[in-house]
Amino acid sequence: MEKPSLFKRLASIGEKNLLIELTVYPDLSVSVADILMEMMQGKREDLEALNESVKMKEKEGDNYSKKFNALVTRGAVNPSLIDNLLFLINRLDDVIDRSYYLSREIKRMNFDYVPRNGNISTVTGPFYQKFVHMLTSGKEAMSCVKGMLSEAGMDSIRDYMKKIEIIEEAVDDLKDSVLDETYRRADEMNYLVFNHITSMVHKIDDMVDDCEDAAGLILSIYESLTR
Amino acid sequence: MQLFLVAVLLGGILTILVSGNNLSVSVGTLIGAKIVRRSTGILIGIIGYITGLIIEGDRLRYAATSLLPHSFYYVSMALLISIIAFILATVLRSPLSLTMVLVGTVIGISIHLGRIPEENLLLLIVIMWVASPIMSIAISYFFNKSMVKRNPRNIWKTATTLKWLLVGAAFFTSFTLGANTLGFILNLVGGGTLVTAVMVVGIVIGSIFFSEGAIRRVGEEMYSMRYSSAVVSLLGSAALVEAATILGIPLSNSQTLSASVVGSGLSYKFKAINFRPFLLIVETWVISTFIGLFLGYLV
Repeated sequence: MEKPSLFKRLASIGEKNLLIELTVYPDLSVSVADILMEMMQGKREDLEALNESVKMKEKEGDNYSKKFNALVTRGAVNPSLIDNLLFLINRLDDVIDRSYYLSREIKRMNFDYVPRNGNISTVTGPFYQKFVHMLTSGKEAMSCVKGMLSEAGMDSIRDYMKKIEIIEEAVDDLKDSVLDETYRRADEMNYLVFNHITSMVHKIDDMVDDCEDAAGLILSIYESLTR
Repeated sequence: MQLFLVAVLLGGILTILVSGNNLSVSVGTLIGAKIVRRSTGILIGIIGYITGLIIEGDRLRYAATSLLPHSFYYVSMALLISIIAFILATVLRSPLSLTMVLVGTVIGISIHLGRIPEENLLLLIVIMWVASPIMSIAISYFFNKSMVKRNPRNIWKTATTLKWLLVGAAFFTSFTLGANTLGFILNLVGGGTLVTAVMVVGIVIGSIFFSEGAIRRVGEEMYSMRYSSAVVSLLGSAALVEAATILGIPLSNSQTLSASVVGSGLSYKFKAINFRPFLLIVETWVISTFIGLFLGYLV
């Protein structure tokens, strides 16, 4: 690996470039969220192909993680930042990993189960609408994470952080309302459907929690660099 | 002539030890935080030591000549005791300030010879040695507190500025060590071109071959500090050593820096107060000074 020059080290170019490069994760997460929404709203026959494309993106995310972990541990990064950077990479990758779980869950339910239990989609439909709403909020949170990774002004970074916190709270409320609704309508669904809905809502909530954790880590990295 | 050569040789050896051991204090943070490569850090330290020694080393002449009668025999003894004390402290892993041992030894020899060093100078040294750690803690506490409060507009510009300041602080710390501790050794041996040349060679040898362990140890402790704390700690302690140099008083760099680091740590809102650094400062003060004084008097 090429050693950075004195100027590059002093100008923090290594850390800056690394954080800008990490914006591939929010981009990947947003595109994966779009696919998930398509899976929940689209045709049954597209599910397999869409699940495959999520799988490819999840692999892409894993490859980025390997590359960035190597860059952080071998590059000219201040050792006090290494832990936070590794946690950050992990959190950002977790969002995509959770998306892949959701994708497989949607595919299993709608491709392998629903055809034999046709009327069950009338039960899952309203829940899927809420999931789409939650994912739209998740996309917004991811765009804020991207903004935090590429911005240089501390004020706008703090604004992004606040926005993510508000989104996370809203998604948390949505999760609660989905769970309340699930328990209210539990008699209309069997265990499999109940489990499908509750696990999906928890995973989407976890994705937004990961965004909040990532935002906190980014802020902590910036504070370590400037204070 | 033979005694002069022995004194010059011992001065050179002590310079090697001081340069190698103290390089960690000045450039350890730069290297530990990977702001510069090890070779660049060592170069900054060497240039700082040499310029400090040449430009301001003469300011310690009065202290060096007033504390010890000018005899190459006694000078050689003082240097030898300091070298032995340093080796013993390294083996026993005991904290030690070479500046304090050397000054203590010189005073011990003078007392043994029935020659009480000038009272005003002694008083000034004691005041400075007691006051400097306290001042160091206070300076870094208040400066770091104000730096933590400030809200940077541009992260990368601020980080770059802090890194440049850290390079400047590292150079300034090396400069003050060159002017103060090395300046004291230079004037103790008698000064002049030959002694300066031998010390310059000693600085280069010590910095290159005898600094790695100390840099790793101190660097690892210091790099966990935030850039602003490291800048404040280094600049605060170097400013005090520079003030002591202007007053012509020998002062330990490592002790003022340790105190400065404690001050920076105390300035944070959420802190886990570790009293070990406080005890270490007191321990170093007592051990170094009294070992020097005792051995100097005994010999």
